[in-house]
Amino acid sequence: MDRKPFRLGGLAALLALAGAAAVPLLTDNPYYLQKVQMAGILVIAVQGLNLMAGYAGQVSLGHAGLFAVGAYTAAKLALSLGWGFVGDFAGAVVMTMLVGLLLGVPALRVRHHYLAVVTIGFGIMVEKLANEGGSFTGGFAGLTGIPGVILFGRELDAVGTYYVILALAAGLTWGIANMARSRVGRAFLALREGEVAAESLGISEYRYKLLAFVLGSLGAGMAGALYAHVFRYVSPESFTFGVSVEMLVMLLVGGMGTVAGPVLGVGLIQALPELIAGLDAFRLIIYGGILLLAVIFLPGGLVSLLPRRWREPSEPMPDKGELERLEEQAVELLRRAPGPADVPALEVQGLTKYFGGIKALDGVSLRVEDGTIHALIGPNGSGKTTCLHAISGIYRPSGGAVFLRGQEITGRKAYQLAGLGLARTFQRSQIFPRLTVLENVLVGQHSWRRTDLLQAALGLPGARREEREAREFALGLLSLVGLADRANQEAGSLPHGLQRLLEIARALAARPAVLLLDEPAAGLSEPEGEELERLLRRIKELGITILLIEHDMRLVMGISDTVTVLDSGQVICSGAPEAVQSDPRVLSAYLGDAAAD
Amino acid sequence: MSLGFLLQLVFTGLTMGSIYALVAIGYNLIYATTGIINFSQGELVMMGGMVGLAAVTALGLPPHLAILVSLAVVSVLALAVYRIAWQPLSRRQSGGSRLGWILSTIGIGIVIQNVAMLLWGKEFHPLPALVPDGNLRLGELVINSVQAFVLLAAILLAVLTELLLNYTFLGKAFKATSFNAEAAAYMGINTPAMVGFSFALAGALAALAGFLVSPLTFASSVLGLIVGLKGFGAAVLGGLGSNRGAMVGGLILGVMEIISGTFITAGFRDITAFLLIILVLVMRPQGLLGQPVTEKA
Repeated sequence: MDRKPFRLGGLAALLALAGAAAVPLLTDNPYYLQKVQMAGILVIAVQGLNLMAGYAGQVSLGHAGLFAVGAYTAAKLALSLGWGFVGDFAGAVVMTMLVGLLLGVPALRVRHHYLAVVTIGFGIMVEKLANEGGSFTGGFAGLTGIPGVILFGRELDAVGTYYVILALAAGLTWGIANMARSRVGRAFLALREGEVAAESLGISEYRYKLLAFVLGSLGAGMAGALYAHVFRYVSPESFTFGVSVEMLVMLLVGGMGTVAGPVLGVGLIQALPELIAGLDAFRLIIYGGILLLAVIFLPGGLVSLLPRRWREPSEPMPDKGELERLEEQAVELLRRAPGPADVPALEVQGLTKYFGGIKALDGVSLRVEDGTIHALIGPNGSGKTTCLHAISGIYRPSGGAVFLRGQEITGRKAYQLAGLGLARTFQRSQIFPRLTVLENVLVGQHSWRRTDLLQAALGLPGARREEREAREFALGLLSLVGLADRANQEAGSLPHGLQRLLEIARALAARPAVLLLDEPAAGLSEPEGEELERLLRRIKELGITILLIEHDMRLVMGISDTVTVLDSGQVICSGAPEAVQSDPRVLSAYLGDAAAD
Repeated sequence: MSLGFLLQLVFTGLTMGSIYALVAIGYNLIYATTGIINFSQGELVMMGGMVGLAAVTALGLPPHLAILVSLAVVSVLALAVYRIAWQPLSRRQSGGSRLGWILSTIGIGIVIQNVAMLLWGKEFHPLPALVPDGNLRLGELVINSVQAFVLLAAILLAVLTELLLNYTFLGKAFKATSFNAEAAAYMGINTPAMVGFSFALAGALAALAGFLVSPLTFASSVLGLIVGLKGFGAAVLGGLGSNRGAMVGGLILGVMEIISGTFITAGFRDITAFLLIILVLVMRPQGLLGQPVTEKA
């Protein structure tokens, strides 16, 4: 079950690597050797961009700037300090990662086209600085006389150098392939698909965005250092905005956020001028045209043309008996012993939230007893969702306090709460549409799984074991909510009702003590609603406390232990369902004063 | 250093800044109806200069006719951007990631730039101004007629655009579309046409900006990227979507970069400009004049 699903892709990768390694055997033409050296360097750089743009969704149009930092650092180190190739390489990579970290800081504040402009501006600034750097950067003419690749005291020839590049490109690609199907890789994907939902599952936007920039810079720095030593010459014209665009075109044409995308994209774009002779004058026109056509007609890149079995290793489906076993296992992992009787699972005291001059929450207090289902109801605009957002860290409360099992959590960031035992779903379903159903539930386990970047990238045994356990738990949870047979389907293609169930399964994957549900029944058909009711009862039996916002009164009155009614940001009534139903204040809030008379 | 010298710098900065402001208004127009940034805007400005140049040199037209040719050609080109880079994606994409449009407009921008380079090379060409060159001395300050004309014409164009948007039926339909396209469509406004109109108008402003500035900076096929980015910077400085903000942002950017270019070194002019843009984006994404936005999750 561990390696089987990836066999076809792995075989293709090995064949490609063997093919690339055979190139020097087929030709000793220096032109072609130089061409494949450059292709290898580009694969390394574009894999870096892939991590940033493809996986983490941080599209950079200034990747050539980072590439330049790597190349110039290596060149300066080689020319002034003489650390040797390995030292220059390491120094250049570290320097580029530091600059990447710096570039990542604005990215925490800006998105979409703003991010595009920040990165374009960064790339152009680097190019200008290289031009204006006087003798330090060699100005327009650049730096020359950089030594070649020297390993163990021997200078490598073109073929040897090519194998060094190939080994690094293959190594980086392998690391990304490992990372892509791990806790860390999925955290990037989740951030790309939906930041709010990702944070609610324990993924720190701050940490993972910066990490994406640092890792993207790792690729750019490696590529830059190689470039300087292989071609022995760096100048600003190798690092223009056009180069940044070229890298993005390669990624896009190959397939963003796929392991093979950069390899295919670099291959095609590098081969293009060879395929059509006399094309040089039109080179950039063709790039621009390819970019345009790829965006419009082939948004998934060349990878999306490959047979599905190759590119998306699907989870082999266990048989019915095995699935039942996994479900039982999952249920045991979810089960919680009741806490001390006098400590409520969730307590809210005098919670307020202002938007400008509007009091959306005006001193709301709630006590959600351990192991119960507590419903929060009220007319539209009464502050229910605001209350849930303020509890779960999406909004910062203006005042008041929130306690989770006796521990104060007021004002904690959303991503900190999943680890403390609070999980939630959203009013408008916020599943990760381009991840599979199974992957959605895998992301849900982020807060309590432990695999870190290094373990994941190297595919260490601990990481593999945890991944296997995570998949089993995810399948068990899917079986619990009745979605196991759709595990490999893209989540965005699920019908609405099933998306809501998936969101609950994903929240459960965090193994919460308290589950917040924002209108789980909205838009469900009657049988789906009944299914939901059964599921909620099952969750309660496991000792998980539920705080629920819902408009479906039959559901609310049928399953709740306590109902609290909000109106205009204030609690007007709280108690057992029967008591609340007949309370005149509630009738008046819903139907107007006349009804209460 | 004398006050006169400083005033001289500010005047030159304002002239360039007024051009950035026109480019920024072009961004705003398209942003208003589509919510996207047209990354080929700078190339349209470049084409404004180059087409004008071709009309003067190849067709032998006088500048005041050449500017009309440039206006017509670039407006049509902007419509082509609308048709090729915006429309096919608008059917498929809905809100969310605007990545597709960022890339498609960059793609078409690259095509435009490189076609221009193929046609006219990378050289810088002087373009005759619409007014005779002359200097007016005011104490230490020397007012150059071409610069003064650019500044005044740019301000006039910005004012005319504001009048068009605020005081005509067309402008109201445009504003309705940008405010809520769906509701506008229910009211019988042809919203796709409004989007096309925003591209054409942005193209027209780009053509005029490119033509006006060319006597000062010369026209070249390589200028589009930088002008485009600075225009975007001006729009961001003032607050994306606000045309008055764009004017203020453009003028600030123009003055800032000339001053830093003079006191550091000329090469640092662009570096300062981009540093300023990035800083504003990070510290105040809503721009200097914009209102802070409270995001609702």
